[in-house]
Amino acid sequence: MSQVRIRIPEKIKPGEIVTVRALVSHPMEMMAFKGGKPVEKNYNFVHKVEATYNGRKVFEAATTQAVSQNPFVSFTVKADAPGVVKIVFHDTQGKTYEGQVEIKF
Amino acid sequence: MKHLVRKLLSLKRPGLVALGVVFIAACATVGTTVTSREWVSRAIPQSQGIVKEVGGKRIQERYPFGGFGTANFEKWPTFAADSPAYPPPRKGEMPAGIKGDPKKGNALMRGTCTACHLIPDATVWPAGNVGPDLRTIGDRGIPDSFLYQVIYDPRVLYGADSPMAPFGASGMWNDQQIMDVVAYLQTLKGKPAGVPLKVTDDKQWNPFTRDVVKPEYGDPLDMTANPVLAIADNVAVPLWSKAGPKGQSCAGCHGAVGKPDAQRPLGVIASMVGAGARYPKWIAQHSRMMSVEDFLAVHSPETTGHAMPSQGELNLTMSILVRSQSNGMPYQLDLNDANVAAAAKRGEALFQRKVGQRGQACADCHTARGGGNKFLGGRFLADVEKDAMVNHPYWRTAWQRPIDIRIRFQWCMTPLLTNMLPGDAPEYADLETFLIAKQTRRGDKVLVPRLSH
Amino acid sequence: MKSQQDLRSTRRAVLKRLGATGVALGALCWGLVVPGGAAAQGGAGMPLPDEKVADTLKRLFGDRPLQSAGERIKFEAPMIAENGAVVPLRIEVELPMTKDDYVKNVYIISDKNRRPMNAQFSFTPDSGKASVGTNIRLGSTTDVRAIAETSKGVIYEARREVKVTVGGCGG
Repeated sequence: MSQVRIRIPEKIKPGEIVTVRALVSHPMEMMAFKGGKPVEKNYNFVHKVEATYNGRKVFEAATTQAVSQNPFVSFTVKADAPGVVKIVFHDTQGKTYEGQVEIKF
Repeated sequence: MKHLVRKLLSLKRPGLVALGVVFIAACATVGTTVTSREWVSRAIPQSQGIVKEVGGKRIQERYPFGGFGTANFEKWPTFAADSPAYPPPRKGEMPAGIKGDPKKGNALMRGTCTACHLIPDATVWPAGNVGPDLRTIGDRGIPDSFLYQVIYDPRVLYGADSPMAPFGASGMWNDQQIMDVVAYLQTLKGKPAGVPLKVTDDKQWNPFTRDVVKPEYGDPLDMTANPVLAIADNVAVPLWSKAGPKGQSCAGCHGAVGKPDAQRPLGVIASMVGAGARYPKWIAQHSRMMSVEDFLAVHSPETTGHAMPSQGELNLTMSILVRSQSNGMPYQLDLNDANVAAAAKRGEALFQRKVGQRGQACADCHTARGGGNKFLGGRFLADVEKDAMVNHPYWRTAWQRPIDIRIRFQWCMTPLLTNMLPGDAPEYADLETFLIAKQTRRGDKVLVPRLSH
Repeated sequence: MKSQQDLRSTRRAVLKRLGATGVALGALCWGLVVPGGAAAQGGAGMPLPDEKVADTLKRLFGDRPLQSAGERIKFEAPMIAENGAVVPLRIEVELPMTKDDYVKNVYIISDKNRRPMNAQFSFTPDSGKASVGTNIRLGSTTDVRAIAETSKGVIYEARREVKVTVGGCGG
């Protein structure tokens, strides 16, 4: 079961600008504060999201704890050839979450 | 009943006897419901409303998320069938010689009253409009003693069904606090007198002009918008086809989960299409109404051996899988079933029951005579006759977890300063029946899981 | 002026140099160097600084002017967020995406969040359009800015006030 859920439109025409939606189940833990000072905690949040389309980079996000739990991003790609959109979420504990979707005409 | 039969038979009039038999037959199908007193809860521990002593203090165990707290209100009325009624209206006596401090009164009002009333202070947001606009109340020449009584126990002045809580009679505020608020209210004067102060020009600040705005969280049936779909897909869908300790699986009797369609993103289970729309149902075996969640908690261990306690993740996600099969179909409670009708009636009585230290009822917030179609703080209150929807379980974005209507009820109990019942309490099933009976009459359609704040 | 990426790589280098002892050091030197947690677990991201929004803007854009975006940025944010935990945002930049002039970055900055810098999205001409959606957390009622930076270094800004309701029941 893929941890990253991805959705693209059902029908895509060549050359169309297509919205890709992606969501990963992740707690996006924030750091706790006490008396204005950070309390040591193994915070854990997604800090980077990368997307490639047939190997070419099309999108990257540098995210922070301000992004909601179960982070969601949507972005666009210009669907100029059939192929694969691959999305990788990286969290601060070094874990990665991958998913991919095929663009067909 | 026996007495009635004897009486009817003694009449020796065949027509009437026949009618009587029919009447008794219909009557006989109305079972006596068990109550939360007798029902052995199948809910997760945090949902059972257990009252216990910790460190010399009595607390009620509740959910660890969302701000439920553990304060114990066991001496105040709850939704339990045998709970005593809320104390009747009580006349207050304004104390002589207590001078109110308007500044403290303002602070008290910001913390409590602004949920329902507008006061002239632009830093108070969100303010509500369930009660009257108080921005110029000081212009109206109302005696202090009258204002005191409104706050002490408004029911004396406005009738027993006043939606406002009796702040003095309930012991929430003492005389000094009430006098502080009275003193503050008397300072609220318009310029010129009687003309509401211009609090702010922000249309969205003012609850009388504010738009009903719903953030766009996306399509609730889209896996990339509604996080609970991914959870249900990971938890409930595999469990459906997994044999339990008894060697049987859900799929063994009800068929496999097929391919998703537009309305059923978790996959179609043909035998379950429409099933969820008919709940709550009277389950004679257990002598009570049961929602899908209540039923899963008893049915799953009985048949497959999978434990599925109410309000637990398995139960909620399985309910989502089952209920989503009815998406797009109208709710169809069997309103001709005497047991369903009786439950809806009991549920209506609960809907009107004043509970908690605050002594407020569902009806106080969700009917036109109270807060229905108005703002409670920043929130728009649904009207039970129009738009109150029991499309549950849904994904609550604020808590990032799925909640069913029972967690919703239990959450309502928190600000009312009431102890909650176990999530699978028969009384809650009756209240749910009352609400879904309304939806059935309106032709409202099933949409599970919703995506809401 | 140092860009976001520069800062990140500097920090990464610091972490690398600290190595294993950095774990203990980091834990001792809260707020001085970097939090130790991430270093301990080998992840690269870390909390951004607590700062005033003016400092965030200065850190990211230096003295470059922020031009009002007008019609160039379509920024959808709820006027009233029902809760601060999930505030859905959608940003579409109506600017060309050609090889020599394209929208390189879009930033989401919330003025009153403890850490105003919330997210940075980077695009290439292959993106077709600089369009992004996400959900963010807001601590209180605040202005939220969507800022677009082109490959030529021009910066456009759109702002929306989002009112965050606190407490209440709802749902």
